[in-house]
Amino acid sequence: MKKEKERIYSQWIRRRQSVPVPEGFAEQVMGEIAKHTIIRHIDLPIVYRVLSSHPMQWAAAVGAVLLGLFRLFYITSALLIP
Amino acid sequence: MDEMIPDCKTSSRNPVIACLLSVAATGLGHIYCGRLVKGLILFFASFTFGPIIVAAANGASSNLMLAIVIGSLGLMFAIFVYAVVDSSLLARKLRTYQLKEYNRWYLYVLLVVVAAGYPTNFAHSIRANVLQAFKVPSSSMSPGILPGDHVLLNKAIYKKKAPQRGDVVIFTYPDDRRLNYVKRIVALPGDTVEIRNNVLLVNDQPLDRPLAPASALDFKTNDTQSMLMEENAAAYPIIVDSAKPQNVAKITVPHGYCFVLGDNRSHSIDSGNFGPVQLNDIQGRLDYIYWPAKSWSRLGLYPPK
Repeated sequence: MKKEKERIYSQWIRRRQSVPVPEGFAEQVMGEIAKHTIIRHIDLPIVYRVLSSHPMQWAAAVGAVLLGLFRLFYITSALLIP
Repeated sequence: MDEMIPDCKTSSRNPVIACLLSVAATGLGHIYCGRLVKGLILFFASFTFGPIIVAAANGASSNLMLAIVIGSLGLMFAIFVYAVVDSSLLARKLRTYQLKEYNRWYLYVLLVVVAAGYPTNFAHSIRANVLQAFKVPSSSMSPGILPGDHVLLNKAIYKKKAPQRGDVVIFTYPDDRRLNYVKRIVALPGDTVEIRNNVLLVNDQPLDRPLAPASALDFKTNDTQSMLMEENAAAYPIIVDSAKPQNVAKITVPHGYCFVLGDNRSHSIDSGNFGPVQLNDIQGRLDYIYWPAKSWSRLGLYPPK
């Protein structure tokens, strides 16, 4: 049963490979993909685009800054805010 | 050894990252830019507010001490701003940067954790044991302490010496321990106290109370009479409402307790109402007005010397 499946799959692959591909087909496909990616990217807000480029680094930076600001606020409030 | 960075490894320095690291931990932006010594100096300098405040609070109370407390916090902010700006400018200048062995993410995390944890713990400890800020909501201590005054309580003082007559203290209200009251100690353990028709007698002796000069008080109404109580060589103004004569039967203050009164004698809930206060409930002595409600001339040591 397994051998039969493999035989059918190999036969299908061979047939696919024998289909003539138009000239520049791969470039066309990749170009379309790139075009759609760029359009989608431009549609997104700039903040999202910037943040999505390095999400972990930005998350770490925002966390560290919040921690730093919390430190200053806590010290001031502990000493001078009733 | 395989974690050692080869000498030839270079990287540019990002001013935004330098700025963010400096916000997270003062001096870390400089370490990121390769200025280890300067970064560590700034890092530890940002912690100096704690020891400075503790040392100042353990010294004699004075306007200088208040200036040191507020100044040390100002210094911390100044160091913070300097580190942020300077590290950003430094990163802009560094077009090519040879990475150092200490440019490691885990070192940055360690410094951020220390910077967030140590000073906040120190500040919490100062608030619990050395100095605490309060806002006075009532006029029971007028005319010396006005409603809206922000005051600093010295919590370290009574670890060195016992409370004295004339001290203004903040204590836990015995009938509702969630509340804090500010009053003046007028009698100590073993003293007898009596108020007879608005006249306070401590150990059967009426305290001297000459009329206060009008210039000394900015709180006066037609029904009240302002007087200067003299205690421990320091005079403090009080207000007595002749229309509301106050009388408290003679009592002896028990051991471990003190008798407290508001300076606005006829408009104060104090030991005349709820009895003597345990010395253990006293949180500290009110030493400073750091944000006066009305005139900034009242800023500083209380009572003024």
